[in-house]
Amino acid sequence: MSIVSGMAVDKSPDSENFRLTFELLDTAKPIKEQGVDNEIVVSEGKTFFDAARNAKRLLHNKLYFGHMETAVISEEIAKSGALAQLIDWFLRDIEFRETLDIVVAKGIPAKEIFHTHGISQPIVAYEIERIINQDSKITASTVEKHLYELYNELNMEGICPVLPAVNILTIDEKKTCQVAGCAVFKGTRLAGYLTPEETKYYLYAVDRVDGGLLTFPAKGNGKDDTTLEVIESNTKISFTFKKGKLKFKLEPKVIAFLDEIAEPLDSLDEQKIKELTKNAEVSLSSRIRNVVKKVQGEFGSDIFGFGNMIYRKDPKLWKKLREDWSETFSGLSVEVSSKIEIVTTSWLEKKGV
Amino acid sequence: MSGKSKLKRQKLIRQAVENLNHSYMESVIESSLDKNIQMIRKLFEDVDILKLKEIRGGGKKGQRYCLVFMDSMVNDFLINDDIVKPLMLSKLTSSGEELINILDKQIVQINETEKTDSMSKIIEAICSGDTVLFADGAPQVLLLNTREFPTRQLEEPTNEKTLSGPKEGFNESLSANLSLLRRRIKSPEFKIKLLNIGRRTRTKTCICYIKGLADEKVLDELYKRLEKIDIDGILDVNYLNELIKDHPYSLFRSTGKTSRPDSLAGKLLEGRIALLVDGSPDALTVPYLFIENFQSSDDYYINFYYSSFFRFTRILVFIITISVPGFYVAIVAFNHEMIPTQLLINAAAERQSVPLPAALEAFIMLTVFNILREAGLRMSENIGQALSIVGALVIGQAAVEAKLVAAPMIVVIGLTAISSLVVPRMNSSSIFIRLFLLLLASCLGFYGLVIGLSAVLVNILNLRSFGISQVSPVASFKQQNIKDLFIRAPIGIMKDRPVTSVNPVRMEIKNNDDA
Repeated sequence: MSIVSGMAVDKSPDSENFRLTFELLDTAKPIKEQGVDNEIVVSEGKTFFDAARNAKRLLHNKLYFGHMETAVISEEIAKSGALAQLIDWFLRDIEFRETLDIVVAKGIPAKEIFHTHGISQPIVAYEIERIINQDSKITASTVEKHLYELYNELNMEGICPVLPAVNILTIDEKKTCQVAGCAVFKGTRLAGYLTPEETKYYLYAVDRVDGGLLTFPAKGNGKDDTTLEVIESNTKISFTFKKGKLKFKLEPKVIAFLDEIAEPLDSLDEQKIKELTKNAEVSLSSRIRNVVKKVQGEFGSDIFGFGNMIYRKDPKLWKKLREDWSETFSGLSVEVSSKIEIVTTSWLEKKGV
Repeated sequence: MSGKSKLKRQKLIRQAVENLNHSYMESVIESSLDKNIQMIRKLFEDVDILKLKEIRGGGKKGQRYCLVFMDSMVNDFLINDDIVKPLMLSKLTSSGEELINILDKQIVQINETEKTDSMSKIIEAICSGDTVLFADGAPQVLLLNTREFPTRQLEEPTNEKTLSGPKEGFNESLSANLSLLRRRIKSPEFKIKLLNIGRRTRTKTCICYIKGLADEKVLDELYKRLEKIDIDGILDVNYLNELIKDHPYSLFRSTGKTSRPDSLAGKLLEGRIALLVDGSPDALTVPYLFIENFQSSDDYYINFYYSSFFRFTRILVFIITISVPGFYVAIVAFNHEMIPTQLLINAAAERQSVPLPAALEAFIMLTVFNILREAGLRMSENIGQALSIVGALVIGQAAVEAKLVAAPMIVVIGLTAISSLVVPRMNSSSIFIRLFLLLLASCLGFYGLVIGLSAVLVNILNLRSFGISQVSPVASFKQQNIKDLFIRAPIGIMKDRPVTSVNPVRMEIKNNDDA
């Protein structure tokens, strides 16, 4: 069997067909010398399954999807709403893992992703999967969405999905792919993108932060010059509906280490630490608010799950609101008040006496 | 020959045989010495090693005697000094029964004697190495114990090796074996009952048990089953085993087997009943628990942590040895998603270059392994070295390099082979279970493997042995049973006997803190 590690979904340029690009693990060459290499196979078909089966026309072995980790879809497919059909095929077929990652190729045809070189190992699909998987603890710049989570979100009330986005970086004529923020969907259609920075604050808004860094200006204005390493973060999301007005409140609570600061700080000076903390909180709250505003204004899709929260906590209210939820969401007032606790600054005494 | 006449002919043959046996079984000796000698000569016609020695006593009467014995089985010195000499010097005048009594108690200088008039007993005695004393005019004979025959020296049994502890093993002589046992259990409650089984061999078998610990019901059942036996000869204790066990066609044992006296003594003290047979160094024990397959006597002679760990290991290893080939075939041929990707890549790469499908390869390698094992068992030591090199190089190295067999398959089969050597007692069953599971896994993948294992488990749970279920200590899970089941608890803690005994209290622990 030919083991498929990743798949790219495009629309064929000359017809209505879908074009699938498969990245296969090449088991014919001896492994001991170089490690496994990848092979690219392209096939077209009227539907996704048709395209997959058509690949057998040029292969010795049947394709085996049991170890496929990543599916990359192009912008065109994402905008056309074919994502629903793709997920339907994935879920009905036994071989696909329900934990595979679905990723949007930003600005490039999806198949280009598999023509790049992975930096640490040659299989692009596994590289992407690993980057996304470990991202939440290290950079918190993208969202990980397994197939089953995506399916759940598409069918839940009052929430729109978000998928990680990848693009290609060229270093000295060598192309590699990198993860670049996330793609925002409205229903099953692509609405737009968030940059990695914006995605970070989005994660705070939906309480999906496991790590990462926070940067902010120490003095409250100017360039970001201080770094906090986030250890733990919980966001309490609540809403009130008074006099026909819906108000949401986000309260992120962050425990962090101080890891980098432009001007040295006397770590025993409590006053200075308090000031620093306050500036961090202000920075965090305002940035989260900005991201929420952007999503409300530009995309109008409830990726924060506010509607879902109302649905769960107050179903009667949701019944009233769900019809025009898009508009309501765009005009929602969201208050953010964050609390940061700097647990350690790693220095015991002032440096350079 | 038509069916009906064939049956009739068989019946006639059987009738003739019965008559033959009947004729001397029931007969009794006469008072006349000449007539007796004639009878003996006729019975043992063409048995050239039978010796008859006629002796005449002294005195006025000149009483005539005749000694009958088998040449190679008797102690010549004993006969010369303690039988022939006193007989020749005797001057007896009595006759009839009194004659025999006087001979027995005053003349013949032998410690074990028996009076009898039954021909079958006489024949048995002659064939066992006793000397039979016929006296003219006496209605009975005297059987004198003059046995001396070569027996094997006591050695450590080869298939029940232990790390420490006693290294004595039974040998083929029943009396030697019984002496080993008797010296270990010196209480009068240790009962030994002798029986003769087998129409032609009249093999001496012995039932040993400790009264008060063994279950009377099991004993009765054992006697009942032994009485039902009607067979030509018992050459080894396994003949008895197959005739009395609960599940004659099962893969698993229903009776225990041991060739170590210390192990047997331990089992007797747990309330089991032992069966020994003259001519066989093995002893059977009933009733049998399934867990005994995994116990070894040296569990008691080494540190209990160590032995508990090894008990666990043995059970685990048994499971490994039966399921690994099936498991590997299931993964490689069916359920590819069960293993990490890197492993799958390696396995797939290996399989690309190999001609046969995984299941067939597994069968072939298992067969090759069985061949190697049998060859190793039966070969002479001279070619042992050469053969092992051939085995390792040819089958292992060359087959893989010639791409006849994939390398992971060799590893899997090698693991199976080594595992099967850890619990040698289960070897005969595990060969078949392994094949069965491999077959199921080749057809249905993991699903088949699980079905197969369930079937084996259900089979094991249904095993019985002489009235108790073989898995009863696991099933009832009373605290006491666990102490000797998967672990070996320190001896001071094992206060009660296991379920095989009716008398549960093993010892009273005197607490050193009291008084």
